[in-house]
Amino acid sequence: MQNTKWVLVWAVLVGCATGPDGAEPESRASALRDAAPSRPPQAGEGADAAAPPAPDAACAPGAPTDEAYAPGGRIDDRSAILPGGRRVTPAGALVPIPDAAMGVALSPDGRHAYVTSDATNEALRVVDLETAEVTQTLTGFRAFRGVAVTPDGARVLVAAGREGDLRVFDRAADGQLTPAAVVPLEGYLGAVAADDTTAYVASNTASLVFAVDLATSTVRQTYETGNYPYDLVISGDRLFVSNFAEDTVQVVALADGATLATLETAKGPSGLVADPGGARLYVPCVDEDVVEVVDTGTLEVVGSFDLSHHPEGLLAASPNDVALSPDARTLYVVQADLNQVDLIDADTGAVRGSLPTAWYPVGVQADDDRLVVLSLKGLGATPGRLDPDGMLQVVPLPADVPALTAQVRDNNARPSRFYAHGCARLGAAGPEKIEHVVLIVRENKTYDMVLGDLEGANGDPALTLFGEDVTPNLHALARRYVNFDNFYSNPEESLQGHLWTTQADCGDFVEKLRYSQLPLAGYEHASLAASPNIFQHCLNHGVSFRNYGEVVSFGPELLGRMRDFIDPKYPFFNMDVRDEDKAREVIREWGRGIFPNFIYISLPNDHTYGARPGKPTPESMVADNDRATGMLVDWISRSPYWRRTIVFIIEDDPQSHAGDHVDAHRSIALAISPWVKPGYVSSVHYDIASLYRTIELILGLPPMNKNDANAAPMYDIFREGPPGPDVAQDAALTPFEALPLAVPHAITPADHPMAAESEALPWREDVDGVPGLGRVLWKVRKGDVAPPPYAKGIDE
Amino acid sequence: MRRLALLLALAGCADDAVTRGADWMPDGGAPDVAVPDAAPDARAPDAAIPDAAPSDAAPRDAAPPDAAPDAGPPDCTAEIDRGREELAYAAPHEALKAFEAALARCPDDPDALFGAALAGALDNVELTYMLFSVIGAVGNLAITRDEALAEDVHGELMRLRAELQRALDRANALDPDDVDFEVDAAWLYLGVEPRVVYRGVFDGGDLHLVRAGLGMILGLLDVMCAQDLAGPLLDTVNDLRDGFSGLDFAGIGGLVARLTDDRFLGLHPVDGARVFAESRAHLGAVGREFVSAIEWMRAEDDPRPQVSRVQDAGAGRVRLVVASLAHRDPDAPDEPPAESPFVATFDGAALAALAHASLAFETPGELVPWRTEAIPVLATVLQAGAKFGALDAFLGDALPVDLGALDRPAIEALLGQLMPLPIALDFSAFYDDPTGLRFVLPRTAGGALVAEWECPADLDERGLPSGTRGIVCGGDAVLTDAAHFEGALPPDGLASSFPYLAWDDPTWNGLLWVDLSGLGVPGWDAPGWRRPDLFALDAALSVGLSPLLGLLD
Repeated sequence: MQNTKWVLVWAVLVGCATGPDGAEPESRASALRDAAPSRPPQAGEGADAAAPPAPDAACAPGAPTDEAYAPGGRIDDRSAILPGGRRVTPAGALVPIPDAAMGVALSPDGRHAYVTSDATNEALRVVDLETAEVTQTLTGFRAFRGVAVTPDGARVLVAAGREGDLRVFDRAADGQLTPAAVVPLEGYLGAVAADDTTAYVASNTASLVFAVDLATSTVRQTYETGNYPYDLVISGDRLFVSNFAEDTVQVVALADGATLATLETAKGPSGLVADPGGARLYVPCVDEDVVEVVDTGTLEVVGSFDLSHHPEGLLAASPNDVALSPDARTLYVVQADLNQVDLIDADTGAVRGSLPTAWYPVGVQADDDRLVVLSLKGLGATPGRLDPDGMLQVVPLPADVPALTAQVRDNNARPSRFYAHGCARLGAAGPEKIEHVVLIVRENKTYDMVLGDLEGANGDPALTLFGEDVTPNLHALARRYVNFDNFYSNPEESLQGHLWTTQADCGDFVEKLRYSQLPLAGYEHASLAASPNIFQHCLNHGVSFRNYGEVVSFGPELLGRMRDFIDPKYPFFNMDVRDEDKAREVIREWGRGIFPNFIYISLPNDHTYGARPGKPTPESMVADNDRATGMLVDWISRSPYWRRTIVFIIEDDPQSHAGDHVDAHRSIALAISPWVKPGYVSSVHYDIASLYRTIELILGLPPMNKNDANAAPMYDIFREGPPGPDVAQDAALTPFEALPLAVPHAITPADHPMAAESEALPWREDVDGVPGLGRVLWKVRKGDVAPPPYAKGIDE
Repeated sequence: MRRLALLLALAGCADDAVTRGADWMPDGGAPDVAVPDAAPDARAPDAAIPDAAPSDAAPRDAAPPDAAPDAGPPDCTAEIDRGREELAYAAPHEALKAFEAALARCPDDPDALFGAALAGALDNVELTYMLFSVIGAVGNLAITRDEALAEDVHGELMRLRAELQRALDRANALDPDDVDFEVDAAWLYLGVEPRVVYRGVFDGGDLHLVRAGLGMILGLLDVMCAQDLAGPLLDTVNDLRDGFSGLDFAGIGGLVARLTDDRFLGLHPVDGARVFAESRAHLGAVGREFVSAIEWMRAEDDPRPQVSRVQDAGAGRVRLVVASLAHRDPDAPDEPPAESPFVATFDGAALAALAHASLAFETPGELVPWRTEAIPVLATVLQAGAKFGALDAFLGDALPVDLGALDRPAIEALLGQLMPLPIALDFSAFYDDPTGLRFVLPRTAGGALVAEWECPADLDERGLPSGTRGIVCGGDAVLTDAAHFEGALPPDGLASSFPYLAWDDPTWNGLLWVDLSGLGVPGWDAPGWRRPDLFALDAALSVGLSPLLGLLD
């Protein structure tokens, strides 16, 4: 950052001013730059950050607590356990928004909220805040987060993101809307700001802001912005723009469009708010967990409030929107990954407390007696439906902030309570230790889809599409080593999924823009976490590694410093190459001694092409993937590496939309090693972050971010002590013999009953999700058998 | 040991495949090193296990730096041997590091130089294939920030180009007479498939082939690197990928309209002019180096097994023996790949065409006729690309013909029949005024090609004729010689079923010449090359591409 006068500092504040919510400040501090160079952790911070228990040198974590075994998913209409093990208990009145909720604006009289959605063409909903009900739904377009009400309350303005036009609605006294005008603009549209005569509309992809004359519905002026203008604020005769993808705030003179200043910020400047007096602008930076403070007089960044909520500043709190109380004394900052709204002293940055939200809050509005919070994912998935609905919360003020803060902490600390004690290292006993971790990442399956037919675990054969008849290797491995039947994949689809499998996190840019398929996830700067990904993490800490086939997080450095860590023979995500052949290539390299500490292998063919004519049948693709998995374990188990190796098998996400009787996020995970309990089924709630915390403890790596830092390591899967000295003494050392290919390679014929439906799926338009694939796979495998009632979403 | 040749030459092509152990092979062709595809348990190390990442650049057994200036010339044998070993393990990246370690101490060592050139070429060809395979796997991202992406792609291509140029520089630093580099095996994979394995002695002839191959790859990469890609890049890539199997006239028009976007395919503002100029040198050297390779090998009389050799094929022809293609049996994928050397036969005319092509890059007015000179060169390149599987990365199975199953004369005949273009190419004039590739495309308006047909009764409501994919008039249509573009151009005496297109520059920046004699068109009945005007260019395309379109029906 440039032009900064102050530096970050932690300070314990005592007796700060009481805010309009009646909350007393917590012992958290703002950052006053130039005051002190260090950030000493504070008392109580660990609880707030949900830090794991202190490491136990003897590594005796104890048995998992009862809480650890609870299944993920909805508890009731007001609470849920998320894939990562955290709980959400949103405060206030709740208004489900049956879609991916993105943006919210309030009417000047505070009676109505206007909510945009980007997942379907039901783009705009009117919510009566008194009755907490949706009173109108406007359809026919999709909207990102661009919604504004003119100050006179006469119009509601919505940027139709994909359609690339501004929708103008006349607003009646009862809040209902009538379409008034459509103004064609350019590109994928985002934020809208407005006065009574002019709407300012940001085009995320064209890097422009259009000034639209509301009287004539014409573009009066166009302003050039930086890359990906995310939010707009009008303050006096200036327009402030957060350029998300280049980490700047731009100040534009409305009169002539001149850029008055471009201020560098922390990564991911997001929602903006200016104080009514026009002296300060607050800029939450979602990827670095800070709120930057801009002096709008000197046009300098003069402060930075640290909201990481972690004693070591680990990231992944994700502040992405902000509102200001009418008296300008309290900032309300939504922290997407912590499912909370932080109440911040606007002058000092002291955290007064937090309010619990639904999953992944993305918008906040405040007035004198009410806080309105919008969350993207509401209460999460159901067994039959993966994509969650949004949620609007109406929280009366003042609130019981101390109690709600305690609730938030309890919610977020939940995974860290799964074990009474922690370990400083895993997979080590005496002179022996695990030195090699192999992570095999496959594609898009829930637990029940593949392992639902496995005896002795929590499966539902009614939902099993690729059971033992197709995946004998996975079933054999699950029986012989460790099978997890309460493991959750955090993402909903692959754009997020491969970020999770490479960095134990998915940034806000991809979480929001995946609906538009806009991001080059894991490649472009805006999509990458500020924290290191696992490859950078290994490189930074001297852990040798090799990446087979993962382009996400790797691409930007592929021909740079990561060039040495790939095998160019191994294709990046390419389902036209058989997974068996990919496995042979890996084995070829292993055979010549390339077997580093961390080996990441993408085996993607179980994604399948549905029943597209001319492509391999889904059964044969899943069987190919299964055989490849078996081949890899077979080779390792016969090699000298075996007694020092652990193999994990996961899916990148559960997005085949074929359901799971526990929760649509539940997915497959296996741990394979002589060090694990043979034939063990772990029913502890784990997720991808747990997996990475486990890997890090094995390889001696620190956490990458707050997600893995707070996750429960997979303590329960390890047996006591190292493997025995030889095969004769320890059956766990016996080689695994890969089972034959269960389904021969076969091509889907043009006259297949599901060929036409498969061909009609949006393979090109939706690079990743392919909506409808789950229904196709169900029909291919189950024919006319209807999904069970709890999984009826498969048919949608 | 066997005589083998380089994929990278992209010029050695089989017209009569020879099986492994054929009688031309001095020792019957039995391999004497293990191929790296044997059963995994047979290859698992049973003693010391190297855990270090392959980035460990330090040579594992490198000798320490020389202690004193008078210690004599450094001995880089260990590094060079390690490079050879890595080549045998199909690890060209690691081989390159070993040879570079040798060069750091022995910068003039011919083995180190040749090894680094060879390993660099193999390594970066594999990497190029992988990167282009990624493009094939990219879906449609509805809206992108094209300019940022375009600069990223440009940067990556430039890095790749720099690595290949380094390999060529090393090859050019060598005297052919100094090259005597023996390998047990040096593998080239394209994707997970082994495609080529070289065994035996690389000599001066092989050095020329390496130069020719690198020149070809670099020349093409230069052209790509020289373009400003800051247009609708991903959409265009997807259109190209999808279009091979289904583009109709409207689709072609849409694709061309994308390419002629005013931001797209001009010269890159920073690198364009320089890099485009370098493609002239790179491509211009290909034919010359290839002919030099043939001449060098013809004069060679080395009894040792060679990577490649030339045989007298009689009747003034020579046979370049190129070995070995590697084939993995899909029914026995765990078995070592079979090896089958192949042979390409060239007559004097074909070699003269190759030599003349080089001259044409340097000398304005030296025309390369399509039928007699361009087609033999193109057939050579296509067949090599098909044999080695390199075309797979770009075309998949979209081509209606399996070029890999055809010998070179057959491809030459096929090209002559399908594309009997009456044109000649003036490469040197083309390079004298570099402008980017947009100018070779016809004009578009409103996302469609500006085009007219001379079969008014055959046009549908969209203005498209009933022939192949709306591109040509139907077979039964009545053709009428007509004026074009609202009378701007008078009837020209040729009633054509092919669309009459508008061109900003019918000479394609000086590249094109035409000879339309034989069409019976007044004014064009005299043989000889002429610079084309709009009529001549459209007539040439009509004559030259109609048979190809017929194949698509």
